[in-house]
Amino acid sequence: MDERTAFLVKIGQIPAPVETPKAKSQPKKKEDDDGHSAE
Amino acid sequence: MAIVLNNKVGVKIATVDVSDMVTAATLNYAFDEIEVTAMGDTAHKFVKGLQSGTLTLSFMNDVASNDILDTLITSWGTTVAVKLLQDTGAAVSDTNKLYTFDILVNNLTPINGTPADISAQDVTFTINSAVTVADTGTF
Repeated sequence: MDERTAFLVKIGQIPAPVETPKAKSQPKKKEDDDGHSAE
Repeated sequence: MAIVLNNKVGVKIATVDVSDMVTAATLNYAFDEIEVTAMGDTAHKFVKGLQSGTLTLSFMNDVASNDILDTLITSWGTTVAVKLLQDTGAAVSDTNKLYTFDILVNNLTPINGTPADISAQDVTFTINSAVTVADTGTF
């Protein structure tokens, strides 16, 4: 958050930005010996 | 006797401590007196009605970003929280009460004065809430 945004939040003129949680990285699908997905 | 000098009054507007630019502060709050005089009474009688008040501040126009003038101009037309404390050098207590309320920032005189003056304002804001007086809390 930049200084101006922090100030505007501080004096209540704008709501605090919502921190969006970082998307979890998808675990790699296991591949069988042939290189195909296990599904 | 416990009289105090007025040089440690704290003023916070919208959480910004502007005390170092304020040269005078006056909080006035009152309630309406609603007449309930009826037949048989021999004097006017009143009950407490709604509360109202004003905050009058004199302050120097610190033009720095995020300071008093910036705070008030940015808050123009909106309602912001105010805290007042008699002595910022001491904790809030029974003898150093914390006054909390909202003001409607409805007037400003950001350009004001003669060539020989420090740019300053004397403004009166309408209080836009009840005034809470507390013996505890933080300024």
